[in-house]
Amino acid sequence: MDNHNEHNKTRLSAAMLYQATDPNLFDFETTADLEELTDVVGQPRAVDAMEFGMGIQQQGYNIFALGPTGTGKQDVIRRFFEQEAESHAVPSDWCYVYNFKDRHKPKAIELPAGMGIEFRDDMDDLIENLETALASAFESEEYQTRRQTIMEEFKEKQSQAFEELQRQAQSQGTALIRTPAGLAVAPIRDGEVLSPEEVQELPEEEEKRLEEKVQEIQDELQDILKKVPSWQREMRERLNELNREMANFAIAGLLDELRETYADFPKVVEHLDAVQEDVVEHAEHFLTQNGQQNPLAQAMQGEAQQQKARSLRRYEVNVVIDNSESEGAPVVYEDNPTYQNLIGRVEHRAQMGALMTDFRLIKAGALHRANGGYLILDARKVLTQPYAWEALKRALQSKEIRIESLGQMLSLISTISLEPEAIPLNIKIALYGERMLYYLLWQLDPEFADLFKVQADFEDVMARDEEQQQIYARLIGSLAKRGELLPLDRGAVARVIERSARIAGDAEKLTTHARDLNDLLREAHFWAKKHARDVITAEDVQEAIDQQIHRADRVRERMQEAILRDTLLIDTDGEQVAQVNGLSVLQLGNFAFGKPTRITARTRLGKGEVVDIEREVELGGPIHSKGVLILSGFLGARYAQDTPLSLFASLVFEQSYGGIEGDSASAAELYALLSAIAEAPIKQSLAVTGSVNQHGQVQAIGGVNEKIEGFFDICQARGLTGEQGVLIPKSNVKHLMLREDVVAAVEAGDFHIHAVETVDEGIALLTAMPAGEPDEEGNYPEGSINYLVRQRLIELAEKRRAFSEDQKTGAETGAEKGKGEA
Amino acid sequence: MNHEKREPKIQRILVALDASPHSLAALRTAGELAQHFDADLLGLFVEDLNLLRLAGLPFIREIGIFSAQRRRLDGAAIERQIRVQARRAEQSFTVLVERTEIRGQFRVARGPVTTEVIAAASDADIVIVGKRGLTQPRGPRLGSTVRALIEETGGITMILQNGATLGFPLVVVYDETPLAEKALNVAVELIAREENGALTLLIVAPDKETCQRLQEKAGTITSNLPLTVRYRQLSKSTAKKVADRIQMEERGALILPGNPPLLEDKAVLSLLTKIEAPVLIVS
Repeated sequence: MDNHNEHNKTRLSAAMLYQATDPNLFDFETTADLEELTDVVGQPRAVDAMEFGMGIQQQGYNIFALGPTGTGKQDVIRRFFEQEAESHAVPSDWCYVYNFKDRHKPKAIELPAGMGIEFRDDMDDLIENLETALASAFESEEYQTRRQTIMEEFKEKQSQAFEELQRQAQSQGTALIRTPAGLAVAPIRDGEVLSPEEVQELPEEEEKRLEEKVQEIQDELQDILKKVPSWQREMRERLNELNREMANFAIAGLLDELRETYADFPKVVEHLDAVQEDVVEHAEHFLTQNGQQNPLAQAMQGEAQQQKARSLRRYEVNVVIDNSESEGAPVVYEDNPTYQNLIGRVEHRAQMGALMTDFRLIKAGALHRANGGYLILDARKVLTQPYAWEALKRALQSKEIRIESLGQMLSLISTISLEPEAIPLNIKIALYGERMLYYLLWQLDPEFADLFKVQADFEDVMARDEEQQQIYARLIGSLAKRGELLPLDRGAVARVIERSARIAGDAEKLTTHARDLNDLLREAHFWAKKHARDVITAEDVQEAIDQQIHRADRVRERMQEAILRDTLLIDTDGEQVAQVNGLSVLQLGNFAFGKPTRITARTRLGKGEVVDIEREVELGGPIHSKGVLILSGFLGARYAQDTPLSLFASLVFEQSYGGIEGDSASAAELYALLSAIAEAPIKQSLAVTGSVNQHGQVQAIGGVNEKIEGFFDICQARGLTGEQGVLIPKSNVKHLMLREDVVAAVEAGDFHIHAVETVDEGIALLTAMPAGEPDEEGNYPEGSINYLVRQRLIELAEKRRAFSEDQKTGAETGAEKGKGEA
Repeated sequence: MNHEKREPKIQRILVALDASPHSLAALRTAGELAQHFDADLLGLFVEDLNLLRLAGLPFIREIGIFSAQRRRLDGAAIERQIRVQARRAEQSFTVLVERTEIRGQFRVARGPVTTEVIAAASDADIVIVGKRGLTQPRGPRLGSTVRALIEETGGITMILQNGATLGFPLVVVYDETPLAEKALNVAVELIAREENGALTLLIVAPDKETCQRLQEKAGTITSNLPLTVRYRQLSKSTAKKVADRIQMEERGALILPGNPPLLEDKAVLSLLTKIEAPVLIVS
């Protein structure tokens, strides 16, 4: 009678097992009628944070969006950024140009959007015109004549000197003779050199005079020859001077035009000045040496052509950022945030086996592209890319983008490298990632807090009241529309909302995981299409859910099979002392299912220990151990206030070969323990979940739906007896979103869900005996479980006292005996 | 055609070689001419007796052109250097002959350059000599060799500088002398197988009538040929004026009759040393 009351008190009605959404709540036919949702749903905190983060302009107020994956962080950030970006000015173009003073440090030039390309084209035109202008200048008669004059002058100077010498030599009866390797002065008679014999025949005085004359002319010849190089140098200098003069004249006009166009940009003008100077300085590179027939010059032609091409390339412009076609500020998402993709890179080109580079090979990174706007990055990706995180922080701290070659930094390659001038950085960055990442970064990276001051925390779930469900319906409609899916009818929307609550694991909440929702919609669309429907109905949604489960539940099926074939021993009827059906949840991928587990307890005389076998073999986690220790706390406090707890108890999850974690089985363990102590049998038709505290209150656990369904499936397979059911903590009732067949079985009275608040309620249900309330002296009424437990513990305590007294006496007798013998 | 009758028929070409770039360039042009006329090419390298003698004079030093250093002249070294030069000249010559498939013969002679060249020139129709560049001092050798060639042989002397090729229009100095006619015939021979050949005749005569007559005479020689002929009449001209006129002409090779009044003029001689195009002197 009493027991029956207990049943009625805790038993949940079918209506409490599933919070359905009434399709009639909605006044649309299909989601096609609904206005598209532009606001972010269910994330008021994150939205506020985003608004704050967007508004505040101080340094360091970058955003970190934290929350589980699939909550649509990236979408929300992008939407915010794009909205904001529209109203912002298009940022500048950036170009790199040759640095004539230090060629390893290319210069950066900022120009208004669109002008970068213009500047580049202008310079390309200039290069083209330079060639023609210089060519015509150098081919002009004026130039040629002046050049010839200079060269002629030199030749004349030289030949005059030689002619003079020749004349002098002739007047002295000598002549200059070309030898294979030089020149010599020789005495001459009738156009021929005197032979040694002829010289010997001369009178001694004459011979001496001849020698002196030859000597004299030789000296002069040597003087002249020594001067030749300096004359040549002088000629080259004058030719260079002429080249410069002509070049300057030829190109000044072209450059003046550009200087006028870019008068507002001092850096461009400065560069143009440098270009002009450089062209003039290297004018000879533009000269095509057609006139030269010298074989060496011909061989040098190829090299000269290359030299010319190289010189010209220096005047080109490398537009690294072109905003000519941009509208508003850029919003950039860098999918692969490697070091180089973030801060840009300098590429190399293999040339004759060596790696060469120049300013034209500087490539922009995501920071360049997003400069003046917004950059979105996946925190995990940034952190897993070597050096990317450090580079990102450095750029944010220094407020400039400095391209440094990674290879150079790590001394991986040794080759010519560049240090491009840094570009000022003005950017708002949003990182997104799991919460753990945020908290770890906060804790481990001291700079993180300075750079990412805005945390936008995304919720996993949102409230499920009527208003929110209406909004959720619109969200479903929008997702369907965006995904180009069939519209959903009201029933389908209601079913999706119910499913969302089940995913959230809470009848009063809805999941905000857009990914799960999207997957469900897409799959429902697939089934609707397969059934040739033009709207998605509740059946399609259900089919999608069933199929999702079906695809994932191989392991669950094997487990259930093992139970049904009695490989895993689980009783679903009868009674047993010290044996309870516990419930655990297994999570495989995104699929979770419940599995009944037999929990048993054994007791004997001891010193008040409750041993968790799982813990002893290190299969149990710390939370599980904590649960078991709470049990002994509860036992001692309730039943052994005035007597020593003289019990040794061991607890185990039978046939469990993997690790166990969590305290959701502590209620079940306690029931098994109480049953073992009181030697009171427990109904095997019931399964138990819930944790207990030291006061014997039953507390909420996770995965309640899966656990109930796990036991139900076994019972149903064996045939429902009407006795079977599950004990859940009362505080979990609000989380119930049970499967339709479970709800139906409960409604039919074939299965029962009991919501219990205390251990006493639970043990009463399991043993069909009253738990028993203590009287004023703390004694429990006879015939109650608590009475039996207390009695047994007192018995054990007495036995122990008796035993220890026995031992004491025995020990003393033994000692005396020993003495006597001695 | 009256081609058969025309004088001179060029069958043998002599090219005087040393190992200098100028003479190698002269060799190239000589090869082209030999092909042009299907003539035999004779290469001549003269081991200069004067050089060998120099080594015998103990007080003479060689001064390096670039280094301006004095060195003792050693007879054995000079011999060796000359041999090296001869070998290089021969190599170049052989390469050319093989490449152009002309009939060629190379010879080395020892003695005074002028004597040897003139000796070899006696049975050649054209003698080609390279001219030293202006950056190097001109010894008496070349001048005297050329002069001797003009005076002592009855052929064509061609002076080449820096490997200049013939080029058009050919400029011919044409006067009343028989050599002038020969010069014109040489020009016609040179141009005969060229397409778009052009010729400029500088007609030098004491008076206008003679000029006119000479022009008509030249016309009969050139009329049958596909040539562009331009006439410049220089009546009552001095040799210097002729030289000035030559300088004003746009020109390829210059062809001169080796007549005393013209060739003895200082202005003309100076022109010959300066001119960059080839000069052919007909004697």
